[in-house]
Amino acid sequence: MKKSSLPSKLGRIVMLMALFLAASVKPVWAIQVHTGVEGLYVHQGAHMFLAFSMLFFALNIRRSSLARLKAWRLLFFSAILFILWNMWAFVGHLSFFTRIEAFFIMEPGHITPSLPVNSWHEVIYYILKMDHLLCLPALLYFYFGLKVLFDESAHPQRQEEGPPS
Amino acid sequence: MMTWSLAPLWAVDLLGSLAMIVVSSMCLLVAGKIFRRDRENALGNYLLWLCFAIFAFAVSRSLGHILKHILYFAGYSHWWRSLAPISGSINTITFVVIASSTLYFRRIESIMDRMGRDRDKISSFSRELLELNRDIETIVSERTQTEMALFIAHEVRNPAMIIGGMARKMKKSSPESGPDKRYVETIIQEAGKLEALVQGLGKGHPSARKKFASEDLNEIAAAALRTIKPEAENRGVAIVTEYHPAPLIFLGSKHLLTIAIIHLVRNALDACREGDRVEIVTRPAEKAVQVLIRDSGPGIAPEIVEHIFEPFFETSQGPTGIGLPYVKQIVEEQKGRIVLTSTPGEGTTVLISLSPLLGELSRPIRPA
Repeated sequence: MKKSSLPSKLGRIVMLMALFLAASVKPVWAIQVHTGVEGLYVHQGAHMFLAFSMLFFALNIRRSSLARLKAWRLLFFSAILFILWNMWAFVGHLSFFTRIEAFFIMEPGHITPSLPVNSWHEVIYYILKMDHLLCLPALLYFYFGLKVLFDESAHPQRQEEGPPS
Repeated sequence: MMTWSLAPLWAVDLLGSLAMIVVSSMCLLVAGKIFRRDRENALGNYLLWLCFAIFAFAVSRSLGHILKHILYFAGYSHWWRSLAPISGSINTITFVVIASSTLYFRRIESIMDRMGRDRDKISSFSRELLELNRDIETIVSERTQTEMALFIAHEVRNPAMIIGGMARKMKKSSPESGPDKRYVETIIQEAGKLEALVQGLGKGHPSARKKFASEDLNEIAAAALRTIKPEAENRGVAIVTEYHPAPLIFLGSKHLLTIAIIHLVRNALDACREGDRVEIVTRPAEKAVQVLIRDSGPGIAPEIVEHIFEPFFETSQGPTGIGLPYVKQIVEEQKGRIVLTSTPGEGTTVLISLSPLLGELSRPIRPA
């Protein structure tokens, strides 16, 4: 008789267990309900993860011989700007969380709302809202890095090398 | 109460969002070009994937921001409350994808390093092989010319000597004032030229030694080892080197001697079992520079050692081939000597001694 493999044995056990559970129907409360600010926590965690990975990327470039090449120097600066942007956005989200749109006021003759500035919190909120000022340069550095990398791969002799860092 | 208009904020947000879409698309285009240039390149593949993630991030984030403003101006601002979690979730996913791809960079970098090293090694090997091939072609061509010259000399020598000898006899037997005397003398004269020419051809072709240059035995041994080391690693045999700290200069052919050393080390590897070792030592000796190749294999029986340099010598394992005789010929052409000693059960040692360039051994030895 042909012996059944370990995965197929496991498959049978799982199926039997599923049948057993289906046969004994009663409320189990198995689904974890996500309420409140979990989404924000996950998003903030993702920002930190992205910042950490960019730091790792930048350090990798810094410690390797790649730092001598112009393309990788540009990608290094891009990673640094992405780290700053992530930190900026992280603090920004904390700040935005304390503000709601109802807080804004509509002044007569304006097509956009206005922010009543009562404390430094509003000033920080206003500044942090302009995160494109970091995010866009980070992306531009990334693009220029790629462009130089492409040109260097087309003309390897033109690779610009400086002293090892 | 002081109020700040959100118009500048919204302008930065709208323009920034549009710019993010444009720049991330440009990144994707360049990454695509890099990828298409060499589809099997690990870095090209990695960058394309990373740019896809960045493009997804920029587009999802920017479209969300733009949509938010459009809905506001259209009077459907409340819709955004339902759409914001979707936009935020997509954004979060793209962050995680970018971060995961970026963390993988270290692995890609090590692959790139390995590929770079292998490419350098291959280009170095092919350069050496090209030079070796050129030298071998020259040697083959010179030897063919020499053999032809020797063949012609051998074939022409006897008729030329016979013609000369007969003509001299005719001259002796013919009267002094005979009419044929002048013709006979011309025949003797021309036969003499022919004999001299044949003698010249018989001396062989001396140009082979002109190809010799001053070479460093350390460099040659190192070059040979670079070629053969992967074989040793595959067989699990340790290679131990001990190069003399000063250059060991001699007059010879770098490529031919490299072939000879490669052949000897390969023979040693063939004899060794896993865990054995092969030593390569370069050293100066009295009026010589030497390279020694020693293995810890099973050794060779004394009755075989006696005939080891004879072509096609028959042993119980079959004929010995022309490998070692060829090595001997290479060494002797460079005015060197080769000695093989072996003790069954302990291993085999081959010692090549070459004449150093005049004065090289009197130089002070450079510190290691």
